[in-house]
Amino acid sequence: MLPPDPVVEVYKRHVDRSLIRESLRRSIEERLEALMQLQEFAAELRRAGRNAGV
Amino acid sequence: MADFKALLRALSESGVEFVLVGGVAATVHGSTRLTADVDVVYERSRDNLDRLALALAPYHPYLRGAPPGLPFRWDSQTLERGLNFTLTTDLGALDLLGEITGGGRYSDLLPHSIVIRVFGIECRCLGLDRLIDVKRAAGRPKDLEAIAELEAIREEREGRSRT
Repeated sequence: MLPPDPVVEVYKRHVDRSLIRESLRRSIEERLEALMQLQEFAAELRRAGRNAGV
Repeated sequence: MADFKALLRALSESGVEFVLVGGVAATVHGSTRLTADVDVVYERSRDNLDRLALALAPYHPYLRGAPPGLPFRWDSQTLERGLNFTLTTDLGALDLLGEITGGGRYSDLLPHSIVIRVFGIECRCLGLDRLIDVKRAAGRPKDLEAIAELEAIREEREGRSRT
């Protein structure tokens, strides 16, 4: 394991640990399903943006 | 959008030897970040290249971002001539990596991988410690947030949360 990187330590202060804890309560399969749903949502938003001309 | 289920099934059921790395491996470990492609480090023996070529052929792999109509042939000879391939497939974006910075090849990653069972199949995924090391070795500023999250995940798992 590499020693701590001071730059990463700064970024770590802004990590939302509540999201991590929620994710760690899920099974691996549930995490991957959630990722696919998020991808679908992002694709839908992109489509909506294009349709709105932005 | 990548169909992780179908991609992993296509590779595993064909007996392809690979290790999941990158954003999907981070998701396996608990990351909540959005990733658009599947990254795998594949084993480079002739037999495995044959299996890999056969497994993905039905899904029309092509060089991602390249103009259509190039004389790109998807077969084990093409895999043997190259090393890392960023591909589009009918199942989504797939990065096939023969070697990664800070991690090396399949045989180097194997001792640092874990076996996961997901969607009814078993496959290998890079362990959290090595995943962090590999992302740090890549030295890309865009990875800083991802590294911070992975290190926070490790701390949460070890019960060393600072919040």
